Parts: sequence; structure tokens; C-alpha cells
Amino acid sequence: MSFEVPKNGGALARVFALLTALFVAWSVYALGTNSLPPLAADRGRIDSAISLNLVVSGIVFLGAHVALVMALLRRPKEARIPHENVRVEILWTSLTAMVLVALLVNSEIDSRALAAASANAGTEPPVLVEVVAQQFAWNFRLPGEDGIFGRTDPKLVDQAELNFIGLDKKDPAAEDDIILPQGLLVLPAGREVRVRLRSLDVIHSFFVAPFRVKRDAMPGIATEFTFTPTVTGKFELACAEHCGLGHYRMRGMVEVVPKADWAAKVKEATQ
Amino acid sequence: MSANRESQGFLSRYVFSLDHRVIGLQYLMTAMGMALVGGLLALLVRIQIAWPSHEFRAVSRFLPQGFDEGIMKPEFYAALFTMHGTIMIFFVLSAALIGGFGNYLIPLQVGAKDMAFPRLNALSYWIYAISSVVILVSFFTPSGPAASGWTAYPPLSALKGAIAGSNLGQDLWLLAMALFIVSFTLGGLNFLATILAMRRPGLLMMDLPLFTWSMLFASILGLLAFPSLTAAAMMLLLDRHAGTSFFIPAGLVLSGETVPGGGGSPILWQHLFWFLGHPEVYIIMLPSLGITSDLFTVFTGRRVFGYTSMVYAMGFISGMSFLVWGHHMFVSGMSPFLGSAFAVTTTLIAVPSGVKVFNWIASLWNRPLRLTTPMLWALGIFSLFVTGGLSGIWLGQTQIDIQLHDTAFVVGHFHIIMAGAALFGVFAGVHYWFPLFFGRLMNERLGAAHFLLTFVFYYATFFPMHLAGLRGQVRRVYDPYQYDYLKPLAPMNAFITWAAVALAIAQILFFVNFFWSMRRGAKAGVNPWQAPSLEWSEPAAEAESE
Amino acid sequence: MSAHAAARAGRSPASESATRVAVVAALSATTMLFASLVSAYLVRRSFADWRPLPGLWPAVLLVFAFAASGAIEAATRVEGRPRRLGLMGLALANGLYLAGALAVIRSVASGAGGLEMPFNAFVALLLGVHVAHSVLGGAFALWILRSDAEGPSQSALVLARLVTHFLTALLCAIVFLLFGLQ
Repeated sequence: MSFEVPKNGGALARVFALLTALFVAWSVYALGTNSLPPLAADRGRIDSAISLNLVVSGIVFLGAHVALVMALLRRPKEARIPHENVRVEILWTSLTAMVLVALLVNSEIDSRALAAASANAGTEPPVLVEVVAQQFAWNFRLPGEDGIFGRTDPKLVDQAELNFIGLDKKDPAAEDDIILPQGLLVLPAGREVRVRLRSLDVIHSFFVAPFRVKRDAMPGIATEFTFTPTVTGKFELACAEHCGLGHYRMRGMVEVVPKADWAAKVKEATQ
Repeated sequence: MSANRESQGFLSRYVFSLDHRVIGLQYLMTAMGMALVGGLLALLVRIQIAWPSHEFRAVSRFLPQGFDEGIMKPEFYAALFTMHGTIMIFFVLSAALIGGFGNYLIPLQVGAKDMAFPRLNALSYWIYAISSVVILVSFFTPSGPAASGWTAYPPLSALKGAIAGSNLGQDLWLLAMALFIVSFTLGGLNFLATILAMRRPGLLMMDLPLFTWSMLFASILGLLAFPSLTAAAMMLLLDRHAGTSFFIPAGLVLSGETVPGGGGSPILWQHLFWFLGHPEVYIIMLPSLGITSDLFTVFTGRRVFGYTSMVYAMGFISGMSFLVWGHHMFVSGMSPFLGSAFAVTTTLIAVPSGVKVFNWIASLWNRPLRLTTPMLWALGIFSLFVTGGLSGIWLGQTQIDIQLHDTAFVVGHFHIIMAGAALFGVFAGVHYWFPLFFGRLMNERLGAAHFLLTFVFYYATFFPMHLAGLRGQVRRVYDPYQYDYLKPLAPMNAFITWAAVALAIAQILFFVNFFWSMRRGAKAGVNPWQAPSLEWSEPAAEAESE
Repeated sequence: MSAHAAARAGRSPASESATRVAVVAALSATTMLFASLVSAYLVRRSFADWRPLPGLWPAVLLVFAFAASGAIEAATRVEGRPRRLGLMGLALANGLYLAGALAVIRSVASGAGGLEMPFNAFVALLLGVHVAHSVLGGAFALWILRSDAEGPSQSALVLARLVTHFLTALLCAIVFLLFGLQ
């Protein structure tokens, strides 16, 4: 019992080719006008890597879909049907592996470079910042003149007294600690920033898109990372790990000011 | 034969049947029902993201505790995306592809009378059915269903005060998952035993369809990977109810109150979860890869190019899938050395995927093609596999992942590669094996229309998410426009939601086709597709007489 | 036993082979479960606040495990009455192990620090999961050795031994990791 089976790929292939062309054109436009937020830190390697991947992916995407369309359009040629061909398979497997390894090596080089102290740092000491995340706000403090963060204790957390991070005021090192207003971090442009990131309750994630910086705030540990802001301005800080009902409004602001104005700006913010 | 069947009661023939074909259809129908729930949840999520102040008048009457005068509560939004992910991954895709197609096809494709252990098989289905009920029931608890993400990271999932859903809802989630894992484990034992020990004499492994191979690998993955989640779930239950601190560190302060106990590690959960989580996505992917290869074989009339390589590729992917889990944790603060190691393994796993793509092109080249509906779906899987695989390569590079982790880019990636390829595999399989299930053919015109609309709207829905992610839109946010830098994305999010609505509506064509053809489709002969594999040598199910 | 007799008994080489595959697969899954739990344990041990509790007395549970292994050997190496005694011995050993393990778990849960102490938590967890598997494994061994007209097949004997000795070896490993690494 047979039935009419659509046989010919032509119409389908043409529709598919048209859709693919429109899609690619739109993607190029969209990616051109819509991609990463402008870079504001010394982490442009990430941008380069993304551009590289865009080119590679674009070629592969296009290549695979063009090949598909061509296959649909070709008239069957029994004599020329490829059967098992180990040599060819080794060839394209090696090609795939080489491209992937190249991307991997590039990624390793980038990762090491990003983790190392910033080249832009110059001779000034890094700015130390402690970021303590909580449901649903960001707490920032600077260590002050002594460069040491004072002791904190969870039992000393007192929201009524605005001691969100449980600072032990009796600790001498804590006397000069500068606690910035919740949600506002002020940084100098052109100086390396070293962040110590903690969480009071659940997992949060510190994400500033223009800085190309993201790190999970893991309760129970303090993680550290480093970057150098290069552009002055105001940059929004987002929480990038689902942390409860207020995850969507766990917004902070990072204000980057010229080096010379930083100390004054910090004073002004903490008035 | 028919006398025997009539002597069986309705219950033992259709409800508690030991026949692998009935059980397979039971899995499939249950999964289809769960898909409606999962799909509805997705639409609610999308409507909320696109228009955060939308008033959900109808839904808020049905689930009042999730809304405040029609406005969705943020904690309910969290429950929605949690349940959408959990239901779709386990209760829809795993159930349909492995429970549904696996059960129906494996004995037929290996030439066995039934599964190795028919009673165990029926038990597997009923445990899955119960687990589905449990997960649905969790919607109606006072504090709502689990809301910590399908990934259930502690401390959010461990501390009852951290979010509403972390009360009874999270416990029911854990119970449902435990039951599901038991069901899947029993099923895996059955599949392995049947494929390895019950093959028709003379039938070599290398004669089997690639779908059967995919079931073999998926079963092995399931048996070896699910225990990790079982272990984690047990520890989470103890943390929640027995005062232990496997995952809860010391010194936590929740809403101003110190949390007792501690000393545990939230990262431990992530390691255990993703040790399952990554193989799980391959468990879902592999059947579609097998189906695509088999459909290329049938509808070009020539064996798929490089059959042996395809087997080895699937095997390599399966083995490697145990070694890549850390790429979900690149920004968690784990050691850079570990990060590099996982980046290496993640890169390696992309190689056999590339092999498959090349082999598929070669399987179409110069060959006569019959573009039936199942073949269209297979071509769709090819496209999604390429696109989704490519975005995965981006994420596997640690420096790029810093920018894109936990953004909409990831959501776009896994919906295209995992959900998309798996979903298209379900459609391909249903259309293809429909004559086997019901003795009739589904309508080709309706099928082609459904394919085209789904294909277009699928890309329209999920591709722009990559752009949103590059712009910095984080995931799992109830209202992205709290951030000024995301306000320009409002039109794009609205577009995505409209595309999702269109995608949902297009599925009506499938359901109409499915149910109408069951009764009134063209009667199929024994082997309507002229396919070479064993399942077609059985006479197709008798078409019901009107 | 002839193939003819086996067929009459409802067994075939294929179905015996299938049972073998299923048992090995199930034991593999169990191994992965304990591997996950043990990994968690080993990592947790390395934390600064780890304090193992003194006393090796829970190791007495090993007696029941070895008794079960002995019983299954008895049940599967001889014919007739000794087999039935062996099976009863297996059931008894498992029952005593169940009671003993539950006693240990209750003891650590209500002891100093209770389950808040990570060591106690792991003792309870590892033993509890092992007990559950012993019940399943013991039930399986008894089921597969049930009397047929022709007696259990060679394959059934092998599998019953495999499952029982596996559980004993597992308990040895657990006891060593918990109490022997101090």
C-alpha cells in the first residue's frame, strides 16, 4: 500500500535558502548594532575572543547550511554517492580538532592573562574592596588607611543599626574601614581593583557587563578577583545567580571617577 | 491471538499491561500531557519577562497564591521557571524519548518478543506516572512549588526561609525526582538487558539501527550518572530536616537572623548535581541523534555515511560526558587549574559532534531524498545541532563564559541544542513510527506545515536570546528593566515572547494531526516507509474498524 | 541440566544472560551512588572543622555482613537441607544487620552533637543507604534462589553470591573509610 511521498528537494531547499539568507542578514545587523556593552575595563581579551568565535561560528554555520541546501538541490548520482571513507573522515575530524584546539589554546592564554595583575596598574598599590552580597543588596567596604579589613562576625549583624555585614567595631583594624552606602561602589579609573567577594546567605553573583567581570559570591568562602576600570562613568551591577524573590532587583551601581577625585568622592558618598 | 486479547480485561490490556508497546505509548501520552503543562509554564515566564506589569487575570484565579491582584509575585516567577525546567527535562523529554520510544522500539529493533523484564517495565512506568502526579501536586501546596531553579542550588534550596518554594514544594520536588530516578533506573536495567542479552540470534550489535545504539548509551549514562543526584538529594533532604550541614556553610545570616549549624559546602552540591546534569543533557540528545541517522538511512535508501564512526562518536560523546561537568561552574570560584581541565574536556567532546555533522552531510550528498515529514524533522535536528553546538563552543571557553554565564545566551544555547533537538526528535519519531503505533499514517500536508512553522518560530524564539545575553541580560529575572542598561532590550524580549506564543499555537497542528490520524489517517501497510530495520517486519497494529 | 529441562523450567540462556546483565548494571549504579557519597565524605573530611568521634564499635556490624556472605556460600555450594539452612541464615544475618545498623544510626543521631556533627551525619547516611541496599540485595538473593522443580540454575547461584559478597565488600569499604582512616 503506497502513498504519494514528496520526493523533490528543490522547493524546500529554495525556501530554506531564503530563510537562511534572511536570518544571516538579520543576525549580522543585530550583532553589529546589538552586541556587547561598551568595554570599560582592561579585559578586552574577552571581546576579541568573542569576535574570533563569531567569525569561526559564522563560517561553520553558513558552511553547514549551504552544504545542506546544496545536498537538497543536487540531483542524485548513484555513481558519485560517498560511502565509508576513512581517509576523508580522518581529514575532517583533524580539521575540526585543530580549530577547536586553537580556540582552546587562545582561551587558556586569555584566562591566565586576565587572572594576573593588571598591566594598567602602574606603580600604585591596588585598590582593595570587599563586596558582601546578601538578599537583596550589595555591601561594599574599603579597608581604609591601614589596608586591613576589620573583623566581621555574623552574630554582630544588626540591620536596625545598619551594620549589614556584622563589622566588629571593637577591632582596631575596623576603625578606619570605610563602609560605602549599600549598592554604591566608587572606584578610581586606571588603578587595579582587587575584590574580595563574600555572601551572607545564599549564592549570588557579581556581574558588571561593561567590565566583563562575573564571579559567584559563594557563602562560606571568600573569593578574589582583579580588574582595572578604564573608563569613567556609572555602571550597573547585576546579580547573576538566582538568589530568591528579589534576585531581579539586586541592583548596584559602580561609579568610576578620575584617579585624582577618588578619595574625595568616597568621602562625599559616605557623608 | 485475538481470543487471548479479548479474554484479558480492560485493566490488564490497557492500564497495567506488560506489553512493551502499550507501556511505550503510556509513557508517550503521559509525556505529551506533561508537555502541555511545561509549555504553559514557559509562556507564563515569557509573558512576564516581556511585560513585567502584565495582569494575569485568568491564571491568577486558578493559582491565586502566586499573584497579587493579577500581578505575578516574583517568588512565583521563580517557581515557574523551576518547574518548567524540571518538568520538560525529566518528565517530558526523557520520558518521551527513552520511556516512550525506547520501550516501544527496542524489543522490535533487536528482534525480541518483549523487554527482558516485562513486570519491571510496567512498574517503571507506574512509578514515573506517580512521580508526575507528585510534581504536579506541588503546585497546590500553601507555599507553592519548588522555586530554586531546576538546579536547586543550596543554600537557597536548603534553607526554608530563603524563598517560599523552599518549603513543602522543595520536598515534593525531591520526592518526585527520587521516584523518577527509581523509574529510570529500573528502565535502564531493562533496556541494557534486552539490547545486550535478548537480541535475535545472529543479529550483531553493528547491525542495529543507530537509535538502538543511542538507547544503549543513554541507558548506561543514566545508570551511572543518576546516582550522583540521588546522593545529593539525600544529603539535601537531611540538611533540610535532620539538622545536618552537608551543603550549608557556617556563619550564614538570613534576613538578619544567624543560621544554626554549618561547615558544609554549597559547591559540593554543584559538583554532584552537574555530574548528573551534564550526562543528562546527552541522555536527552542522543536519541535524536540516533533517530536522525536512521531517518537519513531510510529516506535516502542508503545506509548513513560512516555508520561505524557514528557509533564510536556516540560512544566517545557518552564517555566524555562524564568529564565535562565543571564547565557549568567556571565562575563559581573553583581553582583555575580545574577550570582549564574542564575546558580541555569540553573542547574534546565537540570533536565527535563535528564528525556527526560531516557524516550527515555526506549521507545526503548525491543521494535520492524522500522529503517526508519525519525527514523534515531530521533535517531540522541537523540545523539545530549545528547552531546549538556552535554556541556551546563559545561557552566552553573560560574567558568567554565569564561574560555569558547565567545570561540569556545560555538559555538560548540549551534550548536550541538540547530542548530543540530533543523536541524535534520526538516529532520525528512520532511521525515516523505512527504507522507502527496505530496502523495509520499522519497527514503529510499538516505535518509539513507544522514543521515549517515550528522550525521558523523556534529559531525566532531562541536565537535572539543569544543577543540578549551578549547585551548582558541575566537569566531568571522577573523584571529585567530594573536595570537601565537592559531597557533597550524590551522590544527584543517582546518579539521573543510573540514568537513563543506563535510557536505554541503552531503545536495545535500537531495535536490535531495526531488525534485525527489515529482514527482517520490513511491506513498504512506493513512497511510504509520501506525501511530496512526490524521493527517494520512485524505487521503494523490493526487499524480499528469504524 | 539439559536445555530442554531448562526451557520447561521457564528459563533460557537468553533470560539468564539478561538477568546477569541487569544485576551487573544494578551493582554498577549502586557503586556510583556510594562513590558519590564517599567523594562527598572525603572532601568534607579535609575541612578544618572535621572531628571524627572515637570508638570502633560500629565495626561490629561487619560480623553480620560476613555471616551473610558465609550463609550464601553455604546456600549455594550444597544441595538439599543445608541450602535451606543457608537461606535462613542469610535472612537472619540480614535482619540482625538491619537492627544493628539502625541502632548505630540512632546512637550517632542522639549522641554528642547529633547529626550536626559531620562525622555523625556521614555515618548515618552511609550506613542508612547501605542498609537499604542490603534489604534489596538480600530479598533479591532469596528470590533468585527460590526453589524451582529443578532447583536454581548455576547462573542464579552465581548472581546470589555476587550480590551478597558485593554488599559485604561495600560495608568493609564503608567501615574502613569511616573508622579506619582516623
